[in-house]
Order: sequence, then C-alpha cells, then structure tokens
Amino acid sequence: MVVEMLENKTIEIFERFGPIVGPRSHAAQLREEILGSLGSGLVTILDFQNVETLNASFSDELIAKLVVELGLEKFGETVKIINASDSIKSVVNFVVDSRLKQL
Amino acid sequence: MPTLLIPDDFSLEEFVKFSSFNSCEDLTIDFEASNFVYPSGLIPLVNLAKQVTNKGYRVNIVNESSDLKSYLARMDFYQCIGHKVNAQNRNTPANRFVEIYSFDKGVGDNELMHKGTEIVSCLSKEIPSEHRYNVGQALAFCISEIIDNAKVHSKADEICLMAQNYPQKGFVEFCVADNGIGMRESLQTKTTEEALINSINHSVKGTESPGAGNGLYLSSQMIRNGESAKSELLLYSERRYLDISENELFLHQSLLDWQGTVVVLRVAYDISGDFEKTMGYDPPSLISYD
Repeated sequence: MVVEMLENKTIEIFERFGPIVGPRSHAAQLREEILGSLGSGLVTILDFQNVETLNASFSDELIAKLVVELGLEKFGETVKIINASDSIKSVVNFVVDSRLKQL
Repeated sequence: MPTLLIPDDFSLEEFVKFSSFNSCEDLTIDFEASNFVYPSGLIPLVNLAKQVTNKGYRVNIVNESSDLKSYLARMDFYQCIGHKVNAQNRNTPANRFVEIYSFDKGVGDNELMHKGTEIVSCLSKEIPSEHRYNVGQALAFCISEIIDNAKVHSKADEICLMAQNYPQKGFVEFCVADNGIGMRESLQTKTTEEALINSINHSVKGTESPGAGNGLYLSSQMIRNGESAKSELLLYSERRYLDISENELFLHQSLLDWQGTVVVLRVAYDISGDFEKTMGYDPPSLISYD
C-alpha cells in the first residue's frame, strides 16, 4: 500500500496582517494562494498565534468561501487552523455557518 | 450665507438638528456657544466643510474659545478643511485620541488596516486594565468592519474618521462619515428606514457586494448584547438615523439631509465583549481546530 504523505505549508497570520486581521481584499489574495498550494499537494496550516481580533469579512472571504469551494471534508483534510482563540473560533464558526445556510 | 451655530457638547445627536442648507455658497461655522465637541459631531462637520470647499466655496470658522481652538488644531480640524494654522505642540497626551484622518475609495488596504490597529492600540492604553481586553475586542471587531464598509460600499470621494477615549465618562467614541451613495442606494431598498433596519439584520448586503452582509449585523449585536447601557451604535443616512443600544432600537428623523452615511460607535468600559453573546446564537463548529 502506498500512503501519500502531504507536506505542510504554514501561514502565520500575525506575521502577515498584525494583531487585528482584515480587510476582505487581503483574504481574497490569501485564498488564491491557498488554492494554489492545494494544487501542489500541500496542506495549509493557518496559524493564528498572537492574533487578537479576526474581522468577520476577512474570515468569510478566506475560510467560509474555501469551505464552500472545497466542501467541508476536503477543507478539513487540506486546511488546518491552529492557535485560534475562542473569539476567533466564534467568528469563524459564525461565518461558515452563515455561508452554508446561504447555499 | 448659511451659518451653523455649534452648540455645547456637540455630537451627532446635535448635528442632525441642523436645517438643510445650500452647500453651493460660502459657509460659516460658529463655535461661540460650544466648549466641547465629540468626534460624532466633528467628523460629519469636517466632511460637510470639505464638500463645500471642494465646490470652490469658503468655510469660515469663527468664535472658537482658545481651549477649543487648541483642541481643534490638535485634531487637525483646520488642516483638514484647508485652513492654515500655526504648528501645534504634539506633546499633548496622544493616548486619548486619534486625529482626524481622511481617505477615499482609492486608499490602500494596508494603510486602512494599520489605521484600525492604531486606533485600537492607541485608545486601549488608557482604558483600565480590568476593561481593556473586552473594550479592545469590541473596538477592534467593529471598527475594522465599519472602515471596510465605508471604503468598499460607500463609493465616496471623502471619508473622514476620528476616535477619542473619555476615561472620566468611561467610554470610547469612534466616528466615520462619508459623502457616498448612502444606505438606501447601497442596499437597494425603497426607503432609508428600510435600509437602516435591514443593514443590521443577518446576511443583508448590496446586490454588488462580494461579502456576506454580516459586518454591521455583528457590530450591532456586539452593542445590543454587550450588557452595557452606555454603549451605542448610530447609523445616519439621508433624513434618518438609527440608534442601537442595549436591547433597544430607535429610528429618528433628522432635519439635515446627509448625502452619504455616518456611523458612530460608542463602546463603554463595562461592555461584556463576549463573542458568543454577540452572535445572538451559538453557531455550530463545522470545522475542527488543532
């Protein structure tokens, strides 16, 4: 049996955007980058260490739209979210739930 | 020539009482009766003055007290409306305010993001430590959405903002005003009342919007569910303004017809800052976190 080992690519959100993360247009660029990585067989790790606040528009554009585009299962296999605070998780859960309800 | 007589404790609630006037002639702004202005009064005033000067007319500022003149100069009020003033002493404690900042729809996203971060980090410094986290969270979340909305949806030539912390009063006020298309056109509703009420509902957006329409919904939820009587969100467009506070919603009529949109956010120190309450419900966790 051949087990395919996917390599990881970590994106440190704080390093790119600082402690307060937005706006929507930045997320669109990042989403394209992640989709490009998936095409190369990489697992993307979104590291929210030191991020204090996540803008709902940003998280909708990045995460909720990726969930819609990839589906929940493939998103779970190829995008990992680490070091997210409870408030960030609340915002992400809200935008994903909202997007999926709009389908 | 129209004259705006600025009352004391000048805020948005006073601004909307001005009668409409012809902006195609010189304007006088008279501060004789005023010792104190809030950002929510000053920012729409700046935006209005810039509209008049952009049309080639003069704006005369008269009868400021010396204290108020220093304050207005320190806030870059005169500079913003094209008046020359002497260089200001910048040693005034800067942790209580962010000076008037103007931008248009062409501003870079990085610049706006840094401005939002600057506002929150600057104002948070003088907030008592026991409140700093909750107030900072509420400010950061709402301000980033409001600034983003102004840039993306207003289609405005002029957008102005300013923020100030009032430690003795126990709240922070942030205001952004634009001269864009206004809420009714942005949300494609028949009336302004409908636009204002709809704007704070879940998943409401303009037909051309790339977003999900939740920025103002979540900001209003933060205020309504924040268990804080002094926190408020005001939305003003055309001849209506919506006042959102703890579990209350009031729609008011204004005398002055505002072409674009003004948004005022007041975050009191005692706001809960609880994101689960902010959502209005507990959304399911459909994705996993490591």
